[in-house]
Amino acid sequence: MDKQTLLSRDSFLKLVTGLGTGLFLWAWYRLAESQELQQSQLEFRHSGDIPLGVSHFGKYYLYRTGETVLAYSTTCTHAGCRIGKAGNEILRCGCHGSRFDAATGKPLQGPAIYALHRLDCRFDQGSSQWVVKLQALKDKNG
Amino acid sequence: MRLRKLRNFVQLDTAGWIAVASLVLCGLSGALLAIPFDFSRAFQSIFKLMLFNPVGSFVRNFHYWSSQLFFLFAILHICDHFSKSTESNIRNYRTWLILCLAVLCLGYEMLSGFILKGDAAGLQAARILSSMLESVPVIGKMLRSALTGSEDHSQVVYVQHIATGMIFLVIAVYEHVKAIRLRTRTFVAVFAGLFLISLIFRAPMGLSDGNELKGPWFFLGIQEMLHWTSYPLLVMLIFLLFFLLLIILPRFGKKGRSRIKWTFLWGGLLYLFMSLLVFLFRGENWEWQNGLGNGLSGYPSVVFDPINLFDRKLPVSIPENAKTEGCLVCHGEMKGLSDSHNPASTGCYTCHLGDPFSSDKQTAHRHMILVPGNFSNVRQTCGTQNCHSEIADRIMNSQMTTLSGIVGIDRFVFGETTSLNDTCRAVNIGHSAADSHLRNLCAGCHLGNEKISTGQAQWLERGGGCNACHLLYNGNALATLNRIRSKTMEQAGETHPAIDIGVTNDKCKSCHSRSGRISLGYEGWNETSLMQGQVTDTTKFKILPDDRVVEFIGADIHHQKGMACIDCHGSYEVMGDGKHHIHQEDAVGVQCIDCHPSGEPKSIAIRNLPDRESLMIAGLRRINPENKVILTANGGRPLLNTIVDSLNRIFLMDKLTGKLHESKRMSPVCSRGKGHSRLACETCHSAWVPQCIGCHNSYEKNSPGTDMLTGKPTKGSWVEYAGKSFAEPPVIGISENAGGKVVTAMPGMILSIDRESFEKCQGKRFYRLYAPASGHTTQRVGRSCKSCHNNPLAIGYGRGELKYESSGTTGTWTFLPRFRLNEIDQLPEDAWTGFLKEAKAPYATRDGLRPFNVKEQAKILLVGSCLTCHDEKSKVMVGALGDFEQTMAKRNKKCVLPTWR
Repeated sequence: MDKQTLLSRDSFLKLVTGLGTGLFLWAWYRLAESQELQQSQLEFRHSGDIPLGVSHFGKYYLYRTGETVLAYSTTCTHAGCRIGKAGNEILRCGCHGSRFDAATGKPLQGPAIYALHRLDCRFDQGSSQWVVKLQALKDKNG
Repeated sequence: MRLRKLRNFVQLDTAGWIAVASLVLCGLSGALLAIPFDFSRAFQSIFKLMLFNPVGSFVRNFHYWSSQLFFLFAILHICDHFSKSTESNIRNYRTWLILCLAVLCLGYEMLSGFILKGDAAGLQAARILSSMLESVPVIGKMLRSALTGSEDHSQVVYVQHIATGMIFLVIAVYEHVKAIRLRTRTFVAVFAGLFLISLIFRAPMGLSDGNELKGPWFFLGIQEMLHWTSYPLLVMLIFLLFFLLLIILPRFGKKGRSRIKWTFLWGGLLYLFMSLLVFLFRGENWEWQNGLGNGLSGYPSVVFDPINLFDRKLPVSIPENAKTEGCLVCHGEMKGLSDSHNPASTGCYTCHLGDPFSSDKQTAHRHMILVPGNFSNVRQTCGTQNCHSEIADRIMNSQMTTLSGIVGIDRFVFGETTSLNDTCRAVNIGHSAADSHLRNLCAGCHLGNEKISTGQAQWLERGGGCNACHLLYNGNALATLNRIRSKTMEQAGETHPAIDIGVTNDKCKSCHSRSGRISLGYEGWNETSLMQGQVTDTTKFKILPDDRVVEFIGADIHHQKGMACIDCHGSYEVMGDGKHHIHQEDAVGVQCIDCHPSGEPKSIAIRNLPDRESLMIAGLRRINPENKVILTANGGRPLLNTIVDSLNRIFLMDKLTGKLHESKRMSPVCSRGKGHSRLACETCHSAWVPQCIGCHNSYEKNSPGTDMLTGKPTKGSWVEYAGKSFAEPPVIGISENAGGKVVTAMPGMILSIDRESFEKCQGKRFYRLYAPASGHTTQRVGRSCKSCHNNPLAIGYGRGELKYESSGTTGTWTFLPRFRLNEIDQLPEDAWTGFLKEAKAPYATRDGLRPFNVKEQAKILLVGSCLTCHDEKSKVMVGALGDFEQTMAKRNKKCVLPTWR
């Protein structure tokens, strides 16, 4: 008569594989999440005398009109390319040809149909600097 | 038998084994490439490798070409199996699944290899991949972080490329063939082929800030599909569908498998066709371009660049913040360029193209552009998206490029059009009589003309696009140029001519010293008919570089104060506002009243500027957003070199010197009463304009000439014989288009044309057309009353004696012309209209511009008759200026008014 065991060899291996896979996925998820969090917490500072109109800073651009400064992500809302500077009011995506209104971030020509993400931008009275966070104000911008 | 042997020799081996050989070589070269490659600064590390490390460069080429070979032969291998229906020979479904995943892995390896170059296209490809992965529901962010990682560096992509992807591929291939037993002949042949290709063809490398953002050749179809849809996930779903079909392929019967394979075939062919179209015809901003002509504005995909493996180049340090270009290895010390075109930040390639990845002089200078400003080059140089694309668009319609008015009016006087308002382009000038006339005499002043030699533009060397105005040589730049020409160049101390917005008057002069000659007039000079040898008084006369002799008459008050042409005429006037204007004055917005208003100036705060270009310039100049500047009444353009202070005083700053001038308000006399309310400012304030009394034009078959549009000599040329010329106050007339304003005019085209002298033409033509005069000889004090009311030239009769005589109660005006009457229209040669006669149309080179009619002449002469007795500053005349009718009503009984017949 065979000896009764709590788990068969096959069941044990399946359990270990399942747990291992779960652990792997959990670690993967946490690592991805922490990277995401790190990115969104990055803070960029600019002196108070930002030029009028568009100023490009890689991942975002600032748009100043009078005393108002807005920050927009330069990531194209279509396929993620970085939109290029185009001197004037219109920004262009070189990858697929979308055009955006620099003042509002709204698309003027497709394929993009969503506005550029507006970023958190505030004036820090203490340091007299504009502070930009890469955190998108997606909900507010719509 | 022999044929079979030959076929066997050429075929070498099956596609699968060639792919395996390529994979092995690709892996080995990749391992070597890991030594110099730095994923944190991918572009810079490859750039240095290409410049200073021939062996490294060779290994990179080898890695690239072996990967391409592997990719191609892997696809061929799959096609081979499909065509023979041997996919069913796979041992079990697990192996099939592994192979399917290997196809996916192969795609990732190819794409990640492209990304790891670190150039602009590679970085954008990473962003697209990242974005597409992220768009996958639920696990998107996890996929993105695992396969592309952070945007700031290529660490994750690199690790997945060299480790995960490669290991998986090797396992999959091993699983597939169960052994890597390459035939020596196959391995050696593949190695030898790759060695040779890698030795002479450079693997593709783009620029770090390139504008043409095309992905790798196998990705172009996807890029095009992405362009056509607003939902990239759709493209992913299409490929996922094909992938699922591949996975479940063995599950189908023979017929089902056949249908799926045909779907793959047609899908693949369509994809290839689409990729080819994109490769050839998509350009900057993903717009269709003529790829076979000038569309391929990006850096070429494959470059013939043989490598000397035994060359030992010493790495040259390029500063960390400098532009990554091989050109700077030799030209890093270049001086003379302004900050905005500083080679450390702009590099050389941006303007001159060439090969930025080579330190070899010959290779680096291959396909270089000598004159970036020429319009044939400007879309690849000055007018790219990163630089001045908006201006490049505008300038193609500017008057300096189209010559619209010149071309249209010339055709009108030749009888080739009946309209004075044709919109024309210099580039479309043909070979008719009028167009040949333009080619021989006028078309040289055309921005589109190519500048073909280096160095400072000579007086007669007009054109050159942007360079015509913005290339500015100083002494050091000229010395450098001379050293280059005499081949005594030393590397240190090179000075490039400045590329600057400080355009001096001399730049305008070579063209605007012709026709209306405003550039000469502004500085006080008038062209004479004297020859060089006749000049004795060098204080009063000077000789222009083209041997014309000019005489000093009197400079414009603005010139005397130090202002340059560009102080009034800004970017939108000179380089165009994008519209194709017909005549020169249509493109000019600035007017005297903008800076010399009678009341409050029309101004605008910098923060409210209406156009983005002005906003950008204001930003670059760091002008306080609260500052106010003048806004032109016509066109609403801001004059950024003006300041309107809190007291509404107007100041203008010279763009070249920075000198500040306070601008005076319009004098009260200018707006006193209604007598002169219709007068334009220049009617009183133009001191003089150059005037001629006509010219004769004929075509001389045996005279050598020049086609100014092409720069080539011609046998036979139109020749102009000019009559006498003068520098005198302008003629006055009416502009109906300006609401009946009294404006200045000058002889525009009083000319006869012998059309018969030109082949296939008949008849002779004569025209007496005046043109709007914009003297640019402004004087502070306006001209006297008599200089108009008692002056036959001003009224339009031409030079001569205009006399008022009274006898008893009868007054009579008489005019005795100085020049004889023209046989055709019986008017004095220099007249615009007959004495107390109605003129006959056409009157002028513009619709709406006309001389005074008889009624208006009588009104002018009526005042003139008063001025024969009364001083213009007398109470009577000052009163008459306010209310002429009232003055007339109160006139003395002794006053004798003219009698009109």
